[in-house]
Amino acid sequence: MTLGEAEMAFLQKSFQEYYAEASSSLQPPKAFDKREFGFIPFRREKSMMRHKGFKSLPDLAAFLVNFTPSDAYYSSAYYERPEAEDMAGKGWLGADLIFDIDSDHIVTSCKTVHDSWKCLDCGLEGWGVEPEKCPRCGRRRIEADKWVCEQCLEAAKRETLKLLSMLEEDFGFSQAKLEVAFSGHRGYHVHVADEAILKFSSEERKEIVDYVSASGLKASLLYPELRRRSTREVDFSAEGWRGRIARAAYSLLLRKGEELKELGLTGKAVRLLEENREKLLRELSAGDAAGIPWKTWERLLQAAASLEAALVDTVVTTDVHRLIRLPGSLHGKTGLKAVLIESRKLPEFNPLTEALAFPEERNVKVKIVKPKPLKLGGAEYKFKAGEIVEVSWSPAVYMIGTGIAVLLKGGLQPSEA
Amino acid sequence: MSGEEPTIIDHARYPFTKQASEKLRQIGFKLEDFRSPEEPPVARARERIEKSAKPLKEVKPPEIFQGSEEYELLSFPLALALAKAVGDSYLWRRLALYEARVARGRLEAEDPGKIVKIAVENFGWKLSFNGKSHPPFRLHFADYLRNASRFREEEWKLVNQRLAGGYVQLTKERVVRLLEEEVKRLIQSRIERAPEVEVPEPLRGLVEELKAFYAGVRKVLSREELGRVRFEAFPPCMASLYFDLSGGRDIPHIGRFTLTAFLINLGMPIEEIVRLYVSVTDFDERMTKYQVEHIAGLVGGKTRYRPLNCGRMKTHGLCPREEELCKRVRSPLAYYRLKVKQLSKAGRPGKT
Repeated sequence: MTLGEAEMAFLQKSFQEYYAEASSSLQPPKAFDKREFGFIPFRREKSMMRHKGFKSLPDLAAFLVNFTPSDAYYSSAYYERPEAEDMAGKGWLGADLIFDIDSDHIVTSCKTVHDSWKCLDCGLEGWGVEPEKCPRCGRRRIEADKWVCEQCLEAAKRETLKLLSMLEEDFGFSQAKLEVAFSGHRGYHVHVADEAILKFSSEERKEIVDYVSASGLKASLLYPELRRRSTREVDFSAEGWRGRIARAAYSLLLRKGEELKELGLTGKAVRLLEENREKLLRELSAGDAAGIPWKTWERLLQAAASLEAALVDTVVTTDVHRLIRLPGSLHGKTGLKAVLIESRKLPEFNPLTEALAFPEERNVKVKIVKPKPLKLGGAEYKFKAGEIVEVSWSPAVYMIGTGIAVLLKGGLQPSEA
Repeated sequence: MSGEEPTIIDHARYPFTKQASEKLRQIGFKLEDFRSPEEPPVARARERIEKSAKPLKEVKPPEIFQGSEEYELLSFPLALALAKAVGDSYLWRRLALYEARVARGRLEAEDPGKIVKIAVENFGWKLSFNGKSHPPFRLHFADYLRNASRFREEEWKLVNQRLAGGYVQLTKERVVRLLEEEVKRLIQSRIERAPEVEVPEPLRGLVEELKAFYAGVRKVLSREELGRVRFEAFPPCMASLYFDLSGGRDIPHIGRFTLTAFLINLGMPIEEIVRLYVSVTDFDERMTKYQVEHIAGLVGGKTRYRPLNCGRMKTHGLCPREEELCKRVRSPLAYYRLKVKQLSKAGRPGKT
């Protein structure tokens, strides 16, 4: 999807006004002058401008107003010379630990409602997440049409909360070291700035990703006593994954038979669990899993791990030169603010009301070209294709940026603000 | 007791520590003070270097006899200086590996307080011991990962540890194993960073001998362990992986995979490949055998794997340089076959 000239000009003008107003509320990363900045311009050719450095916040603010990029990023890394064009010349000093949680990677039921795909070869169409290859012709040229809704964002938030609790409890990072930001579109970013992880290589960062996503977790290694038949104590209160999987396994036992089968349990095991559920749950609450065959218990623990895993993007965390969206800047597609959120306030945070960047009182006339369900600023929008509507500024930017609407000629009210 | 000041015996046992270095400064260690290869510290330094060529499994901490503590201590910086003078980075890695293994052997017999003291004072570890909890040691995850992220076994993965409040709970055996890594890196970087060594006249012959000795070790390693396989026909990528591995350097998983597949495809017997891994690394023999058999297609999916081709080797950063012959082939195996053909045409075994 490419934007028309008028749409792009509208977005850029809107962003410019935002940056002129909001430059004082930009939330700059620490050690500002050691970071590399990158920008995507409002142009057809969306190649990134990299290797920029700024000495001060006013310099950056002035740049954002004058250049008005579609997207603004900064490096998770600290460099001696952020403006050097090659990595070797930059002088890497270390990097924050960052996590990217993107609802795109999380399976949610709403995807069958708002996502669809089309095979470019045979024309077959379907709802939901796109298949790797076309089920009819078997070819791989598949075009996906994706959308993000409140439910997707809630799913991303749940993953972020799981991640935060592990970072605080298991890794012992204090809240002061953690920063959470809405990404401006589909998910959240978590930044950890701590001396302990500053110099970590990709390998060490990979181990942390594997930890939070339970990748490579072996229940039998966390419970080495599992195979000793005499005792099978359940350590609900244990810290880290040992306790986490025990607690989650308990809740798994409350599930229906078919669901248990899906976890890889045998028919025999499921029957045993179902027939003795009351008794087993009672024994488990008392900390004893001896009534459950050890192989079944191991499977339950293992399945519990994948439920409790935080789904983060491995590549982002292990890349020590990564550029990440600048908090306080706007997302080029949605016009939503990449806002920083205090981690304890995340449960109540609603990006669809709290990340709006533009004043409500101005309206814009747009024509709907591709209707999608949209909820923004407390209002729900349901339109038909071809409809001409007048909406306030933030939803107008969102609709135009995501391509579900185009600007109606003369639809833009003159700005006096 | 951990509170006590270390003695000369401690310095001799752990010559890489800060206190041992301080002691050496007090003694006034200078290479030019040694006049003959026969002097006990020099003879002992030579022994250290020679022993470092042995398979790791055979390394046992040598006994330190009463009265020889100072010689023992002096022989450590001497061995490092001689290794530097020999100039073979393969020897440097092996020596670091050997010394670290010796240290581990000794640390295993120490009381917890001593282990904590050495780790904290020399490596800045956040490590504590509490006899009442099980396992009893607590190590900060950053110190843990700096050393354990190189290990490939599942039981070393952070996700399979007990982690709480930033600390990993560990047994003594594991703490000591991680310390071995730290000691290895320390010694290796000490040799690498040392300024060029001016060898005094009386020791120059010894340096030449050690040079020849280590060149021999490399050859023997390649001949004995590779069996019928002709090392001189290895492409640069495989030769470099092979020497990194036998030199105790960590090679990434994909590198081990491709080297193994390469050796299997050359027809090297499984047992010999397993022996190669087990003799120079910490890999568990049973597990290694299983993995090698897997790559050979004897177990598991029954697919016999081939090593990566040149393009993928480059993608993974495993291609060190392109030689003339490399330009004519697209895979390490093709290079080997072509090179063997060339060598037999020349009618003589080539040189590495």
